[in-house]
Amino acid sequence: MTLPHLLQVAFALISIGLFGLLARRHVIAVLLSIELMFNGVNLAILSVAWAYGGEPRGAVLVLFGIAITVAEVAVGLALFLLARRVRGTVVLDDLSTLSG
Amino acid sequence: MLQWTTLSLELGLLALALVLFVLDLTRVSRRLITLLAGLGTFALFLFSFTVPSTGTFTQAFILDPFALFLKRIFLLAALLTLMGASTYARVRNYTARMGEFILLVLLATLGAMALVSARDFLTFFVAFELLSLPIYALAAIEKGNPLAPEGALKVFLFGSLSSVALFLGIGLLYAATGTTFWTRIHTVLFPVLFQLGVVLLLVGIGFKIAMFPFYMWVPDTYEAAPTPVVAFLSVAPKAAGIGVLFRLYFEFFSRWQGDLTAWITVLAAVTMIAGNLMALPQKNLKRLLAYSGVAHIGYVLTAVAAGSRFSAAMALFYFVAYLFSNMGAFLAVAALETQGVEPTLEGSRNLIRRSPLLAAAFLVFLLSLGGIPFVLGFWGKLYVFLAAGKAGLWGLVFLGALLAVIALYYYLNVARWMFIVEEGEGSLHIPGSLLAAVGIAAVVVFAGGLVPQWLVVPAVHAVMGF
Repeated sequence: MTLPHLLQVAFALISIGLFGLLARRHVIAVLLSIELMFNGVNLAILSVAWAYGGEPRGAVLVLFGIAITVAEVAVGLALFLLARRVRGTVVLDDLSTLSG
Repeated sequence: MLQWTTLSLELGLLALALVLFVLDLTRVSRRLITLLAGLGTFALFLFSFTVPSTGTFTQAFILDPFALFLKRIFLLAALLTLMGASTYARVRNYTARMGEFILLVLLATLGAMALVSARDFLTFFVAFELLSLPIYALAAIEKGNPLAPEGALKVFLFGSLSSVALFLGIGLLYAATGTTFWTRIHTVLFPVLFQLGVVLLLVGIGFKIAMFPFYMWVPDTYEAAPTPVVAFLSVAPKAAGIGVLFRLYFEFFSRWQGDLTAWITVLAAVTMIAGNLMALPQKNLKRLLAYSGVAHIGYVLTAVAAGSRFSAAMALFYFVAYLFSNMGAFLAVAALETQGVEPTLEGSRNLIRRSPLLAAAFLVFLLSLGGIPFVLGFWGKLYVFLAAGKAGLWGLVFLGALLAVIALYYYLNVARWMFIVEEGEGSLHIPGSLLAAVGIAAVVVFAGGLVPQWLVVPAVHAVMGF
């Protein structure tokens, strides 16, 4: 296992996440896509830190990143529940009424 | 040696937020909590004039006059928001959630305050998220409103995407330099990664400050979210984003400045054009002000493109003007809404008869946003364009002046509707603290326009550290 391999996996994760974010319309699927992109970035930073000879700052960065992602998804799920209760739909296209 | 005094404002705000949160769990009335929050924020604002204005807390956090100036702007923004929201919440029936509201506003303010002091990408990212996350929840605080989840989800999704971009950018910069501290970078090992990282960083910040082409969420979220929240959202994150952009410019991008100036010049130009043109056909006041806010970020980016210490000072001054004019305008819209008036051009009809004071205040804000001499906003624009001119960006100045004239159309159009007089509609009685907030903002905008040097001189002093 070398740095390029790890970075390829990270790149794949980010790409899949970005595709999901653009292609999926269900709020949960979009949340998962964001999570996937974050994990890709986490993996990339960790592998870079590993390649720098176990530089600790990268690992710390990722730890904070994971915590923040969890907080973000928690807020996202709350909004998902709110959307379902108030609007009765969780599909982004049906939620979108504002424009102009 | 850790200089804890450097953190005193942040620690004070955190303590205030947590104490109020605990109080909210007890039987203390919401009104008292809101009052305490307002007083506490104001006390911190006064306290900010006594803290020593230089110091570092490790290498990751710096307190300098520049950061302090912006922190005062955030505290004032939080104060005006709380004043507006206490009344607004009562009318719109979410007083029961004022405890959470206060906690979220104060935490977002804390994030903004930490962001402008950050000197390391970890601090930067955590502060950025602390500023973002409460805003997603705040946008949906009015749970009964059918539009609430839509507006909140839009800002959430765009915001999350910007967080990913930012985090990826930070990762690339870390990969390129081997450190997250801005001041410890000696060599850039991989220039390509460095440039890509800087671009992604700009994307992340661009979402936050509603820069072209990342402003799509702005009008929808502004329309759906409670108006006092929008007032906060339209000032604090933008001032924080521009502040951090200036700090990056002076302390981090310096080795790359040449290319960056060209980029930001283009971004400033398109942001100005997009904001002003999109604002023209708007009928909803909140959407109109949303696009006008985009245009204003274009003007401030002009100062960023100039990239001098003078232009940083003028951007600070611009934000003082923008704080009072823009928040004032949004709070005036909030005042209309509390009286059951739709926040549209149509709804502001006859305002001069129904509430002459509110109409006068709103007019002052609109004139200030439009840059009519001699209110505060005029000086803001003048000085920003002057700074850009000094840096040789005359094309941008010319474009900005031209667009400012176009902008007058939509600002004065609102004023025109206000002055359409009709008989037979009852007068409006704007309740307590909301009226006070609008009044304070109007007085500052008007009086500040007469003696702008009182604000310009402190702003110039604030950038001496760079």
